[in-house]
Amino acid sequence: MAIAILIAGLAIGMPIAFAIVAALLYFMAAGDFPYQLRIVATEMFKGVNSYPLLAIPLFILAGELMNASGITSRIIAFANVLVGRLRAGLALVNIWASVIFAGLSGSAVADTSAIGRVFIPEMEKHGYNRAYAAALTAASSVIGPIIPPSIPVIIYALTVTGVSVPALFVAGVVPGVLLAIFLSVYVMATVKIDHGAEAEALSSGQSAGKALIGGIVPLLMPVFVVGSILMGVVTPTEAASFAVAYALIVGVGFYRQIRISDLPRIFASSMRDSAVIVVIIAAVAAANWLLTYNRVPNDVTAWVLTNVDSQFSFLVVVILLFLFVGLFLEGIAAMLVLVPILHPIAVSLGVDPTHFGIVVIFNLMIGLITPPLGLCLFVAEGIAQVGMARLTRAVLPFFAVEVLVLVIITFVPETVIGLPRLLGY
Amino acid sequence: MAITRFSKSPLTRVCAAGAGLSMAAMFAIIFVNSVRRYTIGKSFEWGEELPIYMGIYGMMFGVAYAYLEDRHIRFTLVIDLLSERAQQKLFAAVDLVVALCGGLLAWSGYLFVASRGNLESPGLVGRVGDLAEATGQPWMEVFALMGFWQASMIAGGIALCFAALSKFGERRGQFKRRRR
Repeated sequence: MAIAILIAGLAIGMPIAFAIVAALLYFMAAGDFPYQLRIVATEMFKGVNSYPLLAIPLFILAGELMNASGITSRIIAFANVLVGRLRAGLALVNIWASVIFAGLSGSAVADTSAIGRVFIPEMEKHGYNRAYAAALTAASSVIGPIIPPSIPVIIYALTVTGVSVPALFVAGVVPGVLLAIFLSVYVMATVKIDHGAEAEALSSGQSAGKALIGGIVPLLMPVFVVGSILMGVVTPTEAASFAVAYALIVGVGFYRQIRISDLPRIFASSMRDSAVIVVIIAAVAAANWLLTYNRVPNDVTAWVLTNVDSQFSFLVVVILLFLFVGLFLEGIAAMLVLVPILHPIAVSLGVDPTHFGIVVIFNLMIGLITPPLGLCLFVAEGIAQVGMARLTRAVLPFFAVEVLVLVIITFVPETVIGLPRLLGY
Repeated sequence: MAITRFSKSPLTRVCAAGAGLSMAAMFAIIFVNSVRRYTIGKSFEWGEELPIYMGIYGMMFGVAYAYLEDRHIRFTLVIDLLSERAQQKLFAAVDLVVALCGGLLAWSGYLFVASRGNLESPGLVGRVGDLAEATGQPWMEVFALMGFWQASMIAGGIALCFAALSKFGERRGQFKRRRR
């Protein structure tokens, strides 16, 4: 019955977190000892009673402050100087602006929204198909949660044991850049209309030197934040608070785009957006208690280890499973439910835990551009207004490129764990 | 206050204020505590626990605030197939289910507080005791009890219940206006 409530709740459009909570409340209220209604609130509270988890709202706040500082135009001008004059310049600026943006927000949806508002109309003005521009914006935003700092990485590290946030942060760099390179090669090979001159429109008359200097201020934030975590100077939560302080100084004092009177609104909306993620974590924590109490993870692990005998076949199954699940389940919810079960199996089969973490995160982030629950696709469609069917067709080639990169990082583990090993993780 | 300028309903204002203040307090404590640790080598004994509890209260206000602003992540594959009118009716039904869910969560939170609320928070008990003694305000000792922080689940459940009922009322008002 509880499963029926969950499915019915999801089908009628109940927010995912509340559908899980509703099913659990029913199960606990109707069940016999030891199930009690108290367990739902107890386990939800325990699920979020964590200091490292506070990095999530703080990174979201830092991203919001940076956005409100008018950072997007500076990042675009910076990327424009770097790649704007190449073939398919506008499309390349779109991709590489996402790479830089990734270091600030760690959220693909924020990236799609910020970059899409500028690029989708601009690319259309210069002859690109509007659906293509929207699809590229959504596809390149997937880089956001892979390059550090990354919210899914923090959640992953909290979900399992034996994986550190710094190691996962470093491990995400090469796959993120690899994805940007593959997307760049694809657009340069397929786009025939743009030969670079059009990208000058984005420079707003700024000189290259001024654009580069303007881009250094936002770029210093990820360098400083990630650098201090990697050097072991601060914890991710402390680094996130320094990122907020830096964003406040830049937005209020340096760029002067944020007024003090804007801050309450920004603080409230950041906590609202954080709550949307954190309540899913709380709800899934309560659901995981139930699964663990009933030894479901142990039974699944035993079954998989009996039937899957090699790393290769396990990783193939994992890729297919997460691509399928990513179609129907929000990435963080899917991660919270599946990772505690699959991670020990991966470790038992000798897969490097950091490698497995990045493969899972990359895999789930692809779900952000696959219908029907691709959040980046929704945001891009909200800006482009081309219709979901047209946008889905346009995103398919980019989806194929991302799956190709996923296959590479899965079966060539050095692409993921090479850099962390080099740095001693 | 700027926070009251961007939202109209009193419930939205309360939830936004709760979420925003929690975020501000959480950031300030973590930042000051980190700076102290790296500059003078000392940190507050309550510097880790208090922001966690502030964050949980903030999350519960944020959950209700996000509901009022339709920000929660939903699965819309099935409902996208329906007409807009049918979708709105379904969302109104969802509002009632979520209100019930919020009420039950608050009750679950009450049971949680009743069974575990007397435990003391190890990071807070010393400082809160000193503070109560120094100010002559014994009621302040409530902040050292886990029950006060566990009550965030009660507050959040009630806020969610009211948010969902408010959303239901808003949708009902829209139906009536359309009929006219």
